[in-house]
Amino acid sequence: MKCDQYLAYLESNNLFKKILARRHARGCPDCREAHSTFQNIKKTLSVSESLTTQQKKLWLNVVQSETVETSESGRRANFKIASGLIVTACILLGLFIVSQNPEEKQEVKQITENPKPVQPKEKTIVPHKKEKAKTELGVTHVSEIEEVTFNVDFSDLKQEIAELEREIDTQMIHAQLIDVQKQVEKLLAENQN
Amino acid sequence: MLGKSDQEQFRELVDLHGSALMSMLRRLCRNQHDADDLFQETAVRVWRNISHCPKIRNPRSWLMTIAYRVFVDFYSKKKTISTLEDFPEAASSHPETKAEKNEESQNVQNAISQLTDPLRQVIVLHYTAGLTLKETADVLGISQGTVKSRLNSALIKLRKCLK
Repeated sequence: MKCDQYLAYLESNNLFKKILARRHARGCPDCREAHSTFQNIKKTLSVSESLTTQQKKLWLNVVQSETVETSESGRRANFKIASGLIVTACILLGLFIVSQNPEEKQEVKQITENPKPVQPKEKTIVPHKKEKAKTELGVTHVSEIEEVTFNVDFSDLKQEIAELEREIDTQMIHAQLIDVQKQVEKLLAENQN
Repeated sequence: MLGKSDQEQFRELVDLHGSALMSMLRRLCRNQHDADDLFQETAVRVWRNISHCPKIRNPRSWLMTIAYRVFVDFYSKKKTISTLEDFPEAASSHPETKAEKNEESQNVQNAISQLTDPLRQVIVLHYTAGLTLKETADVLGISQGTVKSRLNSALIKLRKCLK
């Protein structure tokens, strides 16, 4: 083994090479000096001062701050989910109601497709006889839309919304309970300390 | 919900490896103020990830890897800030960096701070953080051979500085 190989051998994962390096260091004064220097460097680098109480506190305080943040964001997420559920339910209910009456559905579809006033002859719905006598271009068409809109029964929808509101309340109470539970845990942990 | 075991694990990490972590950060940053900031940021990242890792095989390596990534993120940001505002920090002027009272160790510290970043990072991760050559290579994203050659170069340079 040569002197320039000494360090590579000493830092090798191979135990045999390490033994060779140590043996070489015993016989070579330069490498022996290098060995003691390296040992000193390693020792200095591996020594670490213990943490101060402030530094330890810095570390442990993260638990509290992050826990509070998590619960707040969780509550916000619950609220978003609940709002999303309400909106989806409303859309689904609306679609369901429309699908119950295919004639009305067709009419609504036609109205949405052709927002401009259409000739009464082209419409698929059958207006009331009295109204038909009075029909004028554009005017009768608007009254028919109003009729369709106001005839829809909202009772199911209202019931659904009420149920969803109750669900939101439950979610909020649940979130508050989680907060309280965490605070109790935190207090218990502090008391244990 | 976060279990109590997470808190215990979190506390255990700082009890067992906190001092090594702080030393590593201090040697990487070369000033106490930044090391404190990175220490806190490491704590935040560790806490966020601890619940996702039910069984950490090598906590020390895991912790040091997170800390090194925090350092890399911070260093990339800081580099731009110091270029813009032009206020380089005097590493040795901070009173808290004078912790090593021993003259020899102070000399070693000075020699380490004079090393280039790649050499210093290898030597700090291997000797201060206590990572193996393979772990050091994984953290730095380089081969084990490169780690060994950098380690050798660093030790030779340190020896020259200390002569």
